[in-house]
Amino acid sequence: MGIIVAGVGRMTEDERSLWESYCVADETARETARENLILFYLPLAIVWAKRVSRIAGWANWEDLKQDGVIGLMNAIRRFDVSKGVKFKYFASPHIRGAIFDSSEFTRDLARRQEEIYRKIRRAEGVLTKALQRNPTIEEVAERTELTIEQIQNAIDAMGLAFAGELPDAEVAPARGVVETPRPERAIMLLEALSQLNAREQETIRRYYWEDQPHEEIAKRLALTVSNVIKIRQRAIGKLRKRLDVKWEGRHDEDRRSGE
Amino acid sequence: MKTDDLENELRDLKSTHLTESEMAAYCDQELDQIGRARAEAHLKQCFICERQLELLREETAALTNRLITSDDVAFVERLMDQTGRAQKASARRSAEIAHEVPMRERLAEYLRQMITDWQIQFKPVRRSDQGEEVWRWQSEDGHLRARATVEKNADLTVYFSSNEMQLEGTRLHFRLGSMNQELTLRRISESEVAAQVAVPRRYHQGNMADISIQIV
Repeated sequence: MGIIVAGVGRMTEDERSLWESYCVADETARETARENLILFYLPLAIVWAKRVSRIAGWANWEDLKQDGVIGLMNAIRRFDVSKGVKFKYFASPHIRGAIFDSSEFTRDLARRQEEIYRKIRRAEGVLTKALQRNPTIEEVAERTELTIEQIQNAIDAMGLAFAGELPDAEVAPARGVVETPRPERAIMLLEALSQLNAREQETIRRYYWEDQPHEEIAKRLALTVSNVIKIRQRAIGKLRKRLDVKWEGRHDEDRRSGE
Repeated sequence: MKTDDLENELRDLKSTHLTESEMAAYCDQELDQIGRARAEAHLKQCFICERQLELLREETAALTNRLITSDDVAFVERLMDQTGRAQKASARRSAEIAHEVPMRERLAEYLRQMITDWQIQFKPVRRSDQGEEVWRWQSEDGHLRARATVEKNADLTVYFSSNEMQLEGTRLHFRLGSMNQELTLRRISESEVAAQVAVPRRYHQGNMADISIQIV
């Protein structure tokens, strides 16, 4: 009977086999297994080295690549297969961190990119409120007095802040690793939406997210306009019912815990 | 709840950024139908999430289309050899430093390493985590330890402890987002000093990476 390592279910066959070898290897075989893992994920380190190289033309390519691989090695050492997280998401912040943390120059570069990124997110937030939609990159560039290239570089330098694990069953990881906070209300709304039937979901999607009028939806779904209106109203009714129950339940819970 | 409010909330979902998990799940085609539709509606109009998705796809594509050359193999072998030797030297150096470097400087270095670990390892706190330990760290030489637990009232408590009695009375400035607090390492037994800080729920629901701990 083969050895089963918990958590490898979310991996490809190749990855699974490499991690199984690594996890069960004795000390002498472990170095070879580790090398195989490093070679397997090497492209991730190279992608990050290229990304930083694009932003910092002065940096030595070989050094960036080496620092990236050191980050990768660190990620392999720390990775816990049993948590069921995809390694590529776990490793990325380690690789990024190792590259940026390798010298005073790259640390300074990371700090500056982070400042620019914060400025972008602040401007984006203000503009979203004012415009009632997400702003374009040009609008953010105008407000922040940054160039489009500077904005793209800052986003590239930040990568994604995956945490050590993905939340929920489908869990995901972090750089400075923490999930973007999502209002509880939005989570509940998405959950409630997933309970609607396919036709209701499609009507909601077209009407609210693609701004299609009832007539257009009716044409696309081969229904009458009045049917579309009924489906939408029924969906809204179901959502309201689910959310009211959950939302009030949450307040009750908060009251019980003394908040 | 008024229907108008609900309809506005539905429209607002289009401008709500994707979380990192959603982004990953979308990239790997693991979102359900409505989640995917919501993500696509947002991605169409958000250059930040769109760019972040491109970066994820770039990483996934690099892994899928990997081409490893003999130069790569030689490079990795050389690096493994170097780091293996460096680790042994570093372990020796740590032991030496433990005797030579003033405690205050060592503490500053421990705190730097601790923050890095926090930023990489800290898990988002979920409702179900209440009462659980969500983070644990220890310096390589074992002289400073830290852990974080979620209390029943959903506050986060961060504990620090050390067997270095010279640290008794050391004051630390703990900052997490807009929360600032000073704490003092106090003797709790003959061989241990410790301090703890409670982070109210409203602070640890923000960006946990925005943390600093400094010696006052």
